[in-house]
Amino acid sequence: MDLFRLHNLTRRFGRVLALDCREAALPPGAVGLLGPNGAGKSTLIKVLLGLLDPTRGRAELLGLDPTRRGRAIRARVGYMSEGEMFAPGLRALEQVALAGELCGMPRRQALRRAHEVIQYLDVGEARYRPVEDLPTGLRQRIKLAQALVHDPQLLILDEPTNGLDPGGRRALLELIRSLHGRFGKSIILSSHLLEDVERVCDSLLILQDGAMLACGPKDDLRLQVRDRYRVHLRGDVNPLFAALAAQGVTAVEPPRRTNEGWEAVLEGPQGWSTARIFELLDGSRDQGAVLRSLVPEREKLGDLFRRLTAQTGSQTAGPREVARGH
Amino acid sequence: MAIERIAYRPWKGGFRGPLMRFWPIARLGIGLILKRKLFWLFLVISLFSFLFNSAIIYLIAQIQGQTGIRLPRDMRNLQTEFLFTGTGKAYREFISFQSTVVMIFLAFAGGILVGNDFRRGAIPFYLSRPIGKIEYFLGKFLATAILTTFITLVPAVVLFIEYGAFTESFAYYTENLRILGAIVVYGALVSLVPAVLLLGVASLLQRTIAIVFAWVGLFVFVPAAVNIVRTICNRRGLGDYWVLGLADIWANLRWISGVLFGIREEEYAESWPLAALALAAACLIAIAVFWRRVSAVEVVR
Repeated sequence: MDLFRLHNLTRRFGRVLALDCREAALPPGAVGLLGPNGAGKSTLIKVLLGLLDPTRGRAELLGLDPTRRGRAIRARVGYMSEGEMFAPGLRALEQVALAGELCGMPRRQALRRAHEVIQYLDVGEARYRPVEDLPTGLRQRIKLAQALVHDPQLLILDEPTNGLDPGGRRALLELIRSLHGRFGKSIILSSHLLEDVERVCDSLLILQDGAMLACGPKDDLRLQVRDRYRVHLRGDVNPLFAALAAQGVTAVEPPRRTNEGWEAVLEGPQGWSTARIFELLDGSRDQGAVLRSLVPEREKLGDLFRRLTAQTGSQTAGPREVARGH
Repeated sequence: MAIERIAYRPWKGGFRGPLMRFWPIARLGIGLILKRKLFWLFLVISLFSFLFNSAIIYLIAQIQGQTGIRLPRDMRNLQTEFLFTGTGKAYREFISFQSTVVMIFLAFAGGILVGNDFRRGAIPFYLSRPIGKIEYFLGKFLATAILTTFITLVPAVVLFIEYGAFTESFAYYTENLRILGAIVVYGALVSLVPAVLLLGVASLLQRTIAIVFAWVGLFVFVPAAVNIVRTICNRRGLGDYWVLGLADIWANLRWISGVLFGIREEEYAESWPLAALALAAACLIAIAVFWRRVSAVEVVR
């Protein structure tokens, strides 16, 4: 079963065409909705949740039609919206418990579950404070807790890192990654920040001015950059790099130390073959450089976005905004 | 003993069916209102009237029943004046007085119950759960209705029971079943009609000050304007434009209550279906406004 499926889906607000998606389908996993502000990401999410009816076409989420089975979809989905999304006058814990109750959890169990989720999200004693008084980072976590309280199959997160400092952003993305990686939750992450999507998602749906530019696995969408390879090495790598430099191979990104050794992006002259690197390694075996991996380098998300928007002839401010997080 | 790192755990419990999903919204609404001291003041004021009537019923029953002393004429007049006679009119006047408190109560409650939800992003919060506008409406309506029936219907029924209890026979209850029915219907009307209207007004205006002004307009200025126009028309010999009274919610409620309690002193009593229609129309408009305003998506044009 696909995570979602779109069939010529359009949504208009008066004369404005807010969303126009051709055929698209993606399997369960971590999907990034990428596009600048106003691209139609939130509109698409609301159509998928059954909160907005499409003007034309059809959508499916988790195999269900949102226009007819909106409630069933929302029972299986945890939604974290971009804006504030709290019932006024409640403490953080009560807020999360209320979200659970609205999903059908009995009151006591909802409260117990709220404690559990809040503990997992490391909100600590701030759970007893009114949500309005919490700093942005904790408010974002409470929004995530609300989305997570009923243990949904899919999490839809609309700009979850908005307003967070770099540390808070990294921590929240790490949490989201672990929910996908360790606990098998499907994720739809909507963001205008490339880095967020790059870190968490393995598939992409790219929107610009309401139009779908591309949809598919991230690595399929990104072109291989010609004659450019990412290498992971171990041992003394300097003689190897010197030998490569003599053949006209340059390090596009300077070699950097990783936990496992060294990582570098190399670009060879036109017609250069990767076979040469193995020959050099054979020659330098005594010096102990070990090649752990060599993969063709793919274009960055920013470049991918720019290429796609250039193909559609878009002249909006989108790419600049998208590149902001890069 | 090893300490396990806190990890995400799947939910193993069950979920209830969709039928009662409006209840947490109603419970939250009641809780939010009862947190404010102002609303306790309104409840106390409404309780005063109830306690006064209750005490008088008790006092008169004691004087008449236990001492066998017949009340002096002045005192009987006083009793009639203050309408604790156990007749339909007495209960109607009691409920009508209580409904005044209800109106003031609701004017201030609208912003908290509904307006704040719009202003602080709670609507997407509710509607992104497996509930719809119906549950949201029912939750808010129930919260309002429970609070208002505790001011109008419940005390009136208690007074009815108390009055009957002091007659020391069941005859009062059996002979006045119609009054009990009228109390229930009229009490429900003065509680539920304003509750529905409030949801419409509060969803439209959202801020307490604006809601209070609209409420004053609806329940003070419109009736006053209707009376003025009718009086002017009468004085100038243009006839009685009683139809204008249909714009006055108080008048409509009173109109219907006259029929319910069998009080025939009202003018144009036979036209009560028109009053019922006017109230139904007002409620429908309020529901339509509420329906249109409650949306998980705010369209900025």
